[in-house]
Amino acid sequence: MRFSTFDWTLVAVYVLLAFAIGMLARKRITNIADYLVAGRHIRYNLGVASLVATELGLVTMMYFAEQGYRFGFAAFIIGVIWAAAYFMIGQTGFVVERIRQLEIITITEYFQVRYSRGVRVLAASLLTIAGVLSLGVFLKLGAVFIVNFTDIPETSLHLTMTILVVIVVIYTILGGMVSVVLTDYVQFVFLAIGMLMASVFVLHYHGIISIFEKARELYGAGAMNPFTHPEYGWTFIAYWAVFAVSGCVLWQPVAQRILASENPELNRRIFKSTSVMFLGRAFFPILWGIGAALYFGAAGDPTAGMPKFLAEILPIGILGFLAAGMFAALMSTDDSYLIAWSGIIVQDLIAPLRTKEISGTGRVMLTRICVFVIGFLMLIFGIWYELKDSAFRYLLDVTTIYYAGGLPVLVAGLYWKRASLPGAYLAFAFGAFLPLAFVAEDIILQARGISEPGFFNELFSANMRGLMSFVLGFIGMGIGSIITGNSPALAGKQS
Amino acid sequence: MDLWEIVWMVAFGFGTLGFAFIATNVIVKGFAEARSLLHELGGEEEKQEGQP
Amino acid sequence: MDIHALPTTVDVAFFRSNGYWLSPRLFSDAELAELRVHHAAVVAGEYETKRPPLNRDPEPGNTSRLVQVNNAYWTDATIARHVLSVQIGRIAARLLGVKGIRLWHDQLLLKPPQSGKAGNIGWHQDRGYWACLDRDEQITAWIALEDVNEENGCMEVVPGSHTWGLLGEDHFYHQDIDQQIARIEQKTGKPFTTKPCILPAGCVSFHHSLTIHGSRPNVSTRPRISIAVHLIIDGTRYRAGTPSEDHTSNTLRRPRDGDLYAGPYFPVLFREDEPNANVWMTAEP
Repeated sequence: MRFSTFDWTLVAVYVLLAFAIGMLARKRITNIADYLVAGRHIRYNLGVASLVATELGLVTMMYFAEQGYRFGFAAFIIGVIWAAAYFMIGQTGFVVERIRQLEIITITEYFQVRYSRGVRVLAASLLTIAGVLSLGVFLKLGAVFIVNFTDIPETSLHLTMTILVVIVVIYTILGGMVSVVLTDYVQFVFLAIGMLMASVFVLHYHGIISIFEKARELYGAGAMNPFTHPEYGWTFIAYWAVFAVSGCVLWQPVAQRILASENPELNRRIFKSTSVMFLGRAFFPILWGIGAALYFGAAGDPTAGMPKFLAEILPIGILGFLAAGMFAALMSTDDSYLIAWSGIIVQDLIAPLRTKEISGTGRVMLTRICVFVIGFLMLIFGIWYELKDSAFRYLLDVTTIYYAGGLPVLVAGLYWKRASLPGAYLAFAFGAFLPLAFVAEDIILQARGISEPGFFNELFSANMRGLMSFVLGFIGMGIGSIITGNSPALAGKQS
Repeated sequence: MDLWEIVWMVAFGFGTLGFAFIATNVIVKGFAEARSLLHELGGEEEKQEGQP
Repeated sequence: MDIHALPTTVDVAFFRSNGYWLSPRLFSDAELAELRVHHAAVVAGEYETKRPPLNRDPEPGNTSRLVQVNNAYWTDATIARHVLSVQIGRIAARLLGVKGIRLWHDQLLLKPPQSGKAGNIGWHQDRGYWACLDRDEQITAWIALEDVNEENGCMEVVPGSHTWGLLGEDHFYHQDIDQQIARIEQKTGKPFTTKPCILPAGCVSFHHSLTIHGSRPNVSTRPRISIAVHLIIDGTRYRAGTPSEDHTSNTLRRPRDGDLYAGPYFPVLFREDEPNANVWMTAEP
């Protein structure tokens, strides 16, 4: 079935409705935002909806589907580990509980209090690099989905990206539909129902049991075991496990839900429920990707496959329903990431480096300029840069630039008395080295028109490179802290 | 059928049921929570307007 | 630090009517010796933690006039251990009759020997500099690291002046302090009698944020060294639009009107009903 006028109407109605609610309820929603920050009345169900909606972007579904398309059911391991990481944080309160006791609200603030302003600025710089590098992919995958899911001709991919970026930037600068509990809830309803329905149709098309049999034929016997899978294996599992934990504790939009809350118990319950939702968040798109691979064959385009396939098999109406949910997911994710990164640049990079205070209006202005500049950069980068490997791999690499140093700096700061300032700098430097060198080399090679893999590409496998980055980060922290010896810092009590 | 095929079938079943169960709960009970939240905020707003 | 010394009900009554109280000795000789070494290091600009203080005046090395280092506890583990001590918080809470105490900021002080008039600290109420706090009742613990007396320019307080309200006479750097007295007497219609806070090393004086205080030159041959620990009641909020909006402690988190002073920059020292609320300490070497 192809996208019909009826489906377009559904999308338009949803977008207009959401926009209208956003505009009308603006004053109220500001109050709600204060509510959330103050954490006075977090409600359990709305809390789950909000956490899931924030972390369920279109880009996530695209890269999961891509993994499913290329590697079949073994990709499920990604979802299992991610869910386990959320569950573990919710269960034990690892890192977040201790930071909350210190009454710290943002991770970068912790870096400043525990180490120094310089560490905060360094962390924010690495986070900005990771952010700008990854947003281009967000845009590209968003456009790939839209073009293949709807009846927009495939040749207009770049035009679609340009239009998307303009919409996202205007939307963000206008104040967006303040992405909080209520809008998150509406988005949750659309996405949860849309994803379940799409999965039912995929299973109906291929058969519940036979999709496993067909996958075995397509990907080969034994390809379901992630521990022996050439793409995954032990190194991937170890790497992805530390990465997922980093994602929970270092990524502010997630971590703040526990940090800024006066009811940590409830939030930990929310985390645990969300971890179950996250199984579905990974399984469903991977399933769609596998469905697409079975439909188009292993030689098809793994990125465009999923939306193309869904567009073929979903009936009119369901297409529009899912498209509306996906569009909302794209807008809210891109919008909140743009805001998050602009905020980091203004608060953690520009403000600490200036000796004079920035006024409230100056801050708003600066944030808007940042949104505009990042939007422009993500368009240029999204159009120009060609992914060599999967989008998932690329996002892993760029995010590791920040995480590989951030995790040891955070964990050692909280749990190791001797963790020192030189240790923090070394951890960030060591951790960022491999992924930064790899990505930079790749960009330079492409700029020069060279297609052979570079030195850092061949040095380690992708999984080993990621795992080594974290190991190096921890080694940097260890060496820096032990060598500098007596460098006592202000730390939390070790209970 | 190899071991991992069964593992993923079970995991998928568990994930789907868990997703559906929590999603249903969140959608149904969340609606009431959203209404009470709006109500509470609306009430506060009126109170503020009543003040000099 | 002596963890058992707590103000008696007589002491508390004294504080409530006079606006200050002098503690018995809280620090041992060994603790004092250690604190003096660390005090000297911070004054010289040698920061053990490699983290600079919030601000300081004058620059390291210059001890020709009064040295003030704000949030010195960031720079030094030993200083932090005492500034953030539960005991100081507990005494302050009991004197004010409140349930919890947070740090507002600390201030490491050195009044150089033979300071002349430059060592004077004009009569002032701390509250005048802290108008951004939404409560009048705050308290300062002033730790004497050497014996302090009139010779080295000890702090002098005006007993009972904490009940006079805020006078708007805030001249910390005003050096002609006798001229000020006449003006304040005229303003309040009350006799201005001062009381020197003579403290043996290791004792601590506590004064209310509305208590008028100041000090005279150090005419001795040794520097007068001390640490002032400025404290606020747990639950104090930020009040926007006051002259003290730019107080350095406000630059740390840029509060909005009504925001609680909380978080790592205003750590909890003591909470009556929460024995583990004081979570900060320094990692020792």
